[in-house]
Amino acid sequence: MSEPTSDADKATSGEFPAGPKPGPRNTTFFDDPVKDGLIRAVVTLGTELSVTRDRMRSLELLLRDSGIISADAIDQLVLDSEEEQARVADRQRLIKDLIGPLAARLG
Amino acid sequence: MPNSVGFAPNHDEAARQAFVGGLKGYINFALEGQLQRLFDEQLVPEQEAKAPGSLASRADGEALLADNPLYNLWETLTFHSQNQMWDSVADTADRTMDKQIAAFEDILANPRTDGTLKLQDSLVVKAPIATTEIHRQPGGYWRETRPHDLAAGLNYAGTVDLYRNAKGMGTGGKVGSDSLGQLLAGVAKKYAPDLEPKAILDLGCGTGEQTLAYKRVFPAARVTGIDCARPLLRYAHGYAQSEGVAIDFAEMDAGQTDFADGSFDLIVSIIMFHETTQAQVRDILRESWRLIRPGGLALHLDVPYQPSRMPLFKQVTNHWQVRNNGEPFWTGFAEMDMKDELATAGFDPGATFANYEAVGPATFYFFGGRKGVSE
Repeated sequence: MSEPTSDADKATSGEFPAGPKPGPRNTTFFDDPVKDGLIRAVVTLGTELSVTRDRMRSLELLLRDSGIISADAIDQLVLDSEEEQARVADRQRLIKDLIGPLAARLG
Repeated sequence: MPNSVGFAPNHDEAARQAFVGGLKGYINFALEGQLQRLFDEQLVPEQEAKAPGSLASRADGEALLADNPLYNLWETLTFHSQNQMWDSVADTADRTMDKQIAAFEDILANPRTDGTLKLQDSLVVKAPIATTEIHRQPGGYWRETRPHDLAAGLNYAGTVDLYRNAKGMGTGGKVGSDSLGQLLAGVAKKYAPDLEPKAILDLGCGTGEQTLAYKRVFPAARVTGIDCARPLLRYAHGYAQSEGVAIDFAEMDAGQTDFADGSFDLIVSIIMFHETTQAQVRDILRESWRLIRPGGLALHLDVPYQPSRMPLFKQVTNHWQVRNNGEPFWTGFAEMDMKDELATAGFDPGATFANYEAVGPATFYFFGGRKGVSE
């Protein structure tokens, strides 16, 4: 078995293989590229909605099966300041991700 | 497992990857099916009525669809879902990288089988692997940014079954499934029922999941996998060791290997040929002929997209993948006559084959040949 030790030298000298030249990531196909952007934003939102739904279902299954909380515990929850700020930051990032590419396209 | 190499998404990553797989499947079948009906039942008859005989080529079909909004929707969703696929697996690769590399280094120090990994600093990665992000994988197959980098291998491994299942070319496998290797081994037994291979070579083995199948099916054989993408080979070695399967992996160009004449009695590949140039296809076939022992079998599985069996609409959408989605050699490969190419490489034309095998909804293209006992 031989894994050349030259990798360590490359790490310090910055000589790792760069890989191929990056290909296009933002090709558009409609007459107006804003249409592409809007459709992709909706699909991305749908993806994250699906992930969130899956997580909620898993969480609620685990909580219910382990008897940790009652069925109405979520509706009774009051957030502390740290949690509230974290949620604000998450929302802002999502908004930026949604609107940013469209705004960039429009100049 | 803490000391194993393998693609390991957490709950949300797995959910995201599953959604992207489902989305790609919808685009490939429901949406593309709707588009095909529009093309065949409305656009083509209208065009033929206006200008009879004007749809003679793939380019004519492309022109007919170019400005159609349903086609534009298919295009933008196909492109975007490919971005989403790479983004979703990169989440897993980036999050687990430190542990994966630690596991790989532990395997190097404490091997679990007598399988080996041989890398060659002298190997020059050639085009197209050197120059092209195949499947638009960011960084391609050989970008490295740190010692013992596994990123390209992790990213690739995370998409293999997602992509194949969404294209109808999977066998329902999950990440790490060796189902295509098992399929190929079964087909090998059909073409050479008397062959009990002692040495097997897997060309373009990539992340190695399918290579494991050959050792599992032919446990008495020494199995070697070669590829020119170092991060993929690292992953392959780590994964095989983690699975306790002894495979020798080596960094080599399949068109110019270091092996002696007649070193193998079974030479295989899975979806390698359509990822390279026609010139390299010929180099690889010639090299395979040199490496195979008398009585041995060469057997390759690839995409079933030969134009002669594809309606005009599918020729258009497949060629779109060539132009826009990191499949630059798909059309070039599909237009080659592999039986002719095998014969040119040295195989007896009477002992070559190029056939299609259906497995459930999927169809695979198998080609290869046997070397006569006296050759």
